[in-house]
Amino acid sequence: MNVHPHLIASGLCNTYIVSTGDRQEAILIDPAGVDEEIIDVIESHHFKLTTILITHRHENHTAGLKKILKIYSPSIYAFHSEIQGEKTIMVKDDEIFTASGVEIKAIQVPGHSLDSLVFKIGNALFTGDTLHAGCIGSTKNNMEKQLLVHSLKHKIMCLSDNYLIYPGHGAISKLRIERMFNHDILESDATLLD
Amino acid sequence: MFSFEKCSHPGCNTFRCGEISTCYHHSTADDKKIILDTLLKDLTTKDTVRNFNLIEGEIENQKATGAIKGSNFAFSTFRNCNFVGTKIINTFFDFCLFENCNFNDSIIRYSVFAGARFINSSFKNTTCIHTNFMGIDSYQTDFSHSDLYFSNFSMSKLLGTQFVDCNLKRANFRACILKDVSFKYSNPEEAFFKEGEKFTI
Repeated sequence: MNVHPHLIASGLCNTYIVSTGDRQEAILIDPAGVDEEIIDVIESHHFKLTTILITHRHENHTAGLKKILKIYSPSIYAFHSEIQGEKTIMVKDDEIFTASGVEIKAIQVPGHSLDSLVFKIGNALFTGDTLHAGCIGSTKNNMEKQLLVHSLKHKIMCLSDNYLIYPGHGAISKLRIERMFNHDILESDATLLD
Repeated sequence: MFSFEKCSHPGCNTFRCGEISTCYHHSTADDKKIILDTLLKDLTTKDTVRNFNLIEGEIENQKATGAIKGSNFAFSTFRNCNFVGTKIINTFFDFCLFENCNFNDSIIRYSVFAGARFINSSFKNTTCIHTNFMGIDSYQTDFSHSDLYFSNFSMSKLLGTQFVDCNLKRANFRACILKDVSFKYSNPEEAFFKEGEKFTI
């Protein structure tokens, strides 16, 4: 498995292309946009783009979906039955499915949005806007923040230290690092101690 | 990407080193030598070192050329190493020790140096975007003339560290300890510093 991170300048979002095994199949995570570089990654490696995973339906993470579907014909996996008017294969919390030849686990982590999914592929977690390096995703109010922190603690932070974190924005990380330096997670721990 | 297969040593959760069934720490002395020799040869001769996994290694007096991609060097020690002009992408150097290392003129993207300790090292004139420097200890290290767009230094201890003429747009310095740090000719107003400052994405 190989991960090719790419910044889409328009929404400052990270899009990831994950290539899997010898079959040269590829998964695209969050089609925030389509630019020359992303097409170049797919074409220069002779990848067959067969899967798109949507971490949540926010426009800045899905804006490139229609464009990518004009070029390739992948299956789309998301929490909702349609994204940007395109039909998807719905996935639920804790669902394990196989796409592009790899096993993927969807973990629902509500808070930033109710449909937020984290995709676990091998030892990599594609966290969308739930968990970023050093902070959690933005929330509209304190109740949603508590929900997000609670979901992260019970579903993500309990995994082993060596999981790699590929967020929807900003730098990449590891779970060990987030346990030690994630400001929002540490702050909530301190609040609990009080 | 480096292998996610676990070390065969009972109770060890570390990733194994390539073809060898154990991690570097649990490898035999012979295997350790083979792993290090392979890496050093690749670093100095190959265009791209790809998918290498070396945790807790010790590397001294080496000069890397070309690119390092999809690799993992967590908890390793680098002394007097030269990474000038290299391209480092999607690579993990978390909790490493860098002493007298030189990353000048390199391009670093989507990489992780979190928890590392830098002593007398230099990142001058680098393009160092989307890079995770959270919780680093930096002593007499120079990041001057670098593009640090969206890089994250939160919860770091930066002593005698220079950020002269840097692009700090969306860089994160929340909860840092800063002493003798210079941001001269940079744009700290576009970075995040304050504890209470909302850092929304």
